[in-house]
Amino acid sequence: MNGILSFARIDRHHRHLVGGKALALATLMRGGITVPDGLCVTTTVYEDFIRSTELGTRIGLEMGRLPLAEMRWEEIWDMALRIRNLFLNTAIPDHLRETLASELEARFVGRAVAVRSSSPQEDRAGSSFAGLHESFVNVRGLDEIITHIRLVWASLWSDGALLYRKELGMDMHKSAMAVIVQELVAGERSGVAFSRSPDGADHAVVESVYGLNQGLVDGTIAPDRWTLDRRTGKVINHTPAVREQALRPVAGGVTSVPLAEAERHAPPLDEQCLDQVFGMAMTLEKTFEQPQDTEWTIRGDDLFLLQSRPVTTTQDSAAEGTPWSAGDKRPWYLSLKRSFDNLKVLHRRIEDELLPQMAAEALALSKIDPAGLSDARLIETIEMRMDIHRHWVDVYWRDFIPFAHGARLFGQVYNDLVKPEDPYAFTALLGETRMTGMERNRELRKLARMIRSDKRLREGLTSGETDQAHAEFSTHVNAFLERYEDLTYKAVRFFKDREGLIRLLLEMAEQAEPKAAVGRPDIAALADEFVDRFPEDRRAFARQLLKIGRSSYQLRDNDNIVLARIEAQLLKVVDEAKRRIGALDRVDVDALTPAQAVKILSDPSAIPGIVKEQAAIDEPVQHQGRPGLTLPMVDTVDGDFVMRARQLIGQPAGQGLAVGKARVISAVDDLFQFKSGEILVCDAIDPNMTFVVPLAAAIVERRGGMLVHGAIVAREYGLPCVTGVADASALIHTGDRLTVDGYLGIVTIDT
Amino acid sequence: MKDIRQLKSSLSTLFQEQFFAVLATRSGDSIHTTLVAFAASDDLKTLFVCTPRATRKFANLKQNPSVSLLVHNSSNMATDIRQSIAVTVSGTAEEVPADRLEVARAVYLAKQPHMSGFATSPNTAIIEVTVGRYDVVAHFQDVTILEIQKDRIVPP
Repeated sequence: MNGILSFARIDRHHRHLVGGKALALATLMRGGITVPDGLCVTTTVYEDFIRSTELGTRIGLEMGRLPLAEMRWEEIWDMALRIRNLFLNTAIPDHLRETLASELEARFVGRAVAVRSSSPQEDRAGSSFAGLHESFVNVRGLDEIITHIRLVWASLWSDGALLYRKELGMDMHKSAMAVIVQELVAGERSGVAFSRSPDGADHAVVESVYGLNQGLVDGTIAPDRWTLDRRTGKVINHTPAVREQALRPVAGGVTSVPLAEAERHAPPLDEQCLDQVFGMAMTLEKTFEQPQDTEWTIRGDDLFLLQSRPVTTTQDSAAEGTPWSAGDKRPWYLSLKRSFDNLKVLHRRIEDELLPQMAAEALALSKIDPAGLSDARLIETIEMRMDIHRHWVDVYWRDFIPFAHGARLFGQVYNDLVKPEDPYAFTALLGETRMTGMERNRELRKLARMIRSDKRLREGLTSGETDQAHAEFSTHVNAFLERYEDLTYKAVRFFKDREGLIRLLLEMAEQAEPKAAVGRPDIAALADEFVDRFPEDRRAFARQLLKIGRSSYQLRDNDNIVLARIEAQLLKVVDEAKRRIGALDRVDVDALTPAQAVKILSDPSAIPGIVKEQAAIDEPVQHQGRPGLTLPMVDTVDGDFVMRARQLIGQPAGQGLAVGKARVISAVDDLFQFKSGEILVCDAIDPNMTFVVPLAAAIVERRGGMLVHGAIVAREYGLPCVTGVADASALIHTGDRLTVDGYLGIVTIDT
Repeated sequence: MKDIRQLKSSLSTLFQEQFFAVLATRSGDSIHTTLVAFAASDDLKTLFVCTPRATRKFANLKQNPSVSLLVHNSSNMATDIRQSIAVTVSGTAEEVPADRLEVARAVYLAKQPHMSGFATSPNTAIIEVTVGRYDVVAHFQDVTILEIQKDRIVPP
């Protein structure tokens, strides 16, 4: 065998070579079910490829960087992106290319095919891998087919597939991938059928859409849905969809097109077709002796089976609260992948509705002066604002975080097309954004410039005069504070303390030439070049994708800032409540949560209960919803053994080399102590704190990923940056002398 | 390394699994390295090696007791660079005096029972290395220092 098996030659002994999907199709074809004809590029070809190109070793090096369990979802995504790029940039050796060429050309010359994953680990009971490995439809020509075979191979190492294998305890290095190449049947109607409902109910389910079924499978196109009696096939219930679009093949892929008027008003399946699909699902269940989850398509009068696998029963995650409130959020994060069409809808909703609504809400709240409220009204106001804040935190998790996938999707399309050596080259195209945080930083630089250029002002402020003694400067400070009073960090408002701001400005003024964002490549030219790589009829898609990518990249900064504005309006009324409560014996009033402040203000007899609550938690200031703001604790002493870090590794996220003293940020005060030339070390850079970045010589962040704020802002300023440094803020101490190597992702601590 | 106990436990495991270490001794400006079979005490404060007294390493360490050992679990695969762990031990070497010889030999032979003929031969010295610090390298570039501070006051 040369590593390629036609469906006709596959039998059950080949399972480990062809995977469950290919074996099922071959078995069914032999049993008389109509299946688009094709072949399987077995796991031996995959294994030969990764062995003869040394790709296996390079994957091993990537995987060895950090244990998977210690990686954040963004780091897993980054790693998957780098591995995918390795597959794209590793040429197929001649001997494999010749083998593939002779088989593929003989069978598929001039015809469109589907290229599908068929991993031997897939589609076993208990491990469906549904949707985790990639499949592509409407691929034409030898080179394109081979490129897509490589992409299917790479999907063995996708973020979702890695996490899934880890959860099931499978050995990642022993996994392999077979690939099905199959004639594309461009059906007029398609869908899925479950011989038994995946929610466990004892009926069958058929879903159907017009066009190809990709739109149904990735959730972009809503299907008509029928539940049927498993014994008789009688329809129990039909839920029609709002039928608007269908996915159809076009040159170089598929696209969604509007439905004809007649199609909008008629379900894709009539009674006879429904019967036919139901009958096939039940036959498959009988053949495989367990309920089947099938994909099918109808062309003319012919029903084709596309795939069949055992039904895996879904868990009702909603029963245990929102999925994003679970302890391990990574499976949820990995489920956030959104299709292009889905992102388009989300993009409009966020830009046109949610962000303006949030800003308007924050503005309306800021009009109320808390000092003028009676105690009863103040309590009501706090409670109302707690609800408002909670609502927007939910929106943040539900809509904003999934939208962050826009930048990733863009990155993936860019890499597939351009195959750059640097898998993050695409971020250059996203960089032309107007982040709110950047505007605020510019305003701060303007104030610092005033101090720098006015000797009397500088000397006055240095000697301890208040800014009020300098009328013009003071007016500008007031304007700044009015605009940015609502910055928060760890549930504390930044500019409660005017002196802190002045201290920071003095520090900024000491810099002779403030660092400005570095010179960037010609972004417009890069964007044109990207769009021009698409065929004419796909350029609108390319432009839209770039737009979504940019909006998504920008939102990573702006959403936090708008959310912080809402939070600041809550904290403002809570601060007023704390002022009225005054000092209390045994209660840390400053650290009261909004709910605790309400309790004490409405009923002083609640105080003993609050004392107990405060004693029970180590860190009383609980952050209210944005992720990643709790500092890790690390034990470093055991008897007479003392441990300290000498060199920490992370991901290179901003090129360059810097040496300087560390400033570890764990509270607002640390930011205002920041000295020019220090190295910013933190758990996670919050966009609200990026104003100290122009002072920093480098950035070290615990949170990993190339698209986290630290990495984005470091690239804006051309600073060396290392992200994903485990326990950075616990193992590095303020004052430690650090060398930050942003080329290799290494932080060395002088010892 | 997540915390100190985890680090110590991975050192213990490494010292149980690995039979050999590279010992570096020094004479004037010259460094001399040799492969040695070693054992570690349970508390990780002492490492033991055996050597005939007529060797260069023995002469060197008598002259300059500052020594270094390298213990690692690399298996000569390209991917070891990320997966293996390597530990540099810095310490002070001296021949185990007669009154502690039996205990030291027992620790050594518990790990290296096949070396009993060598370890009990009259011309073989058992050397104890009192550890000052460990430099632990994991994942290629992740370096953690574990220091033993003798003057540290340990709470009971």
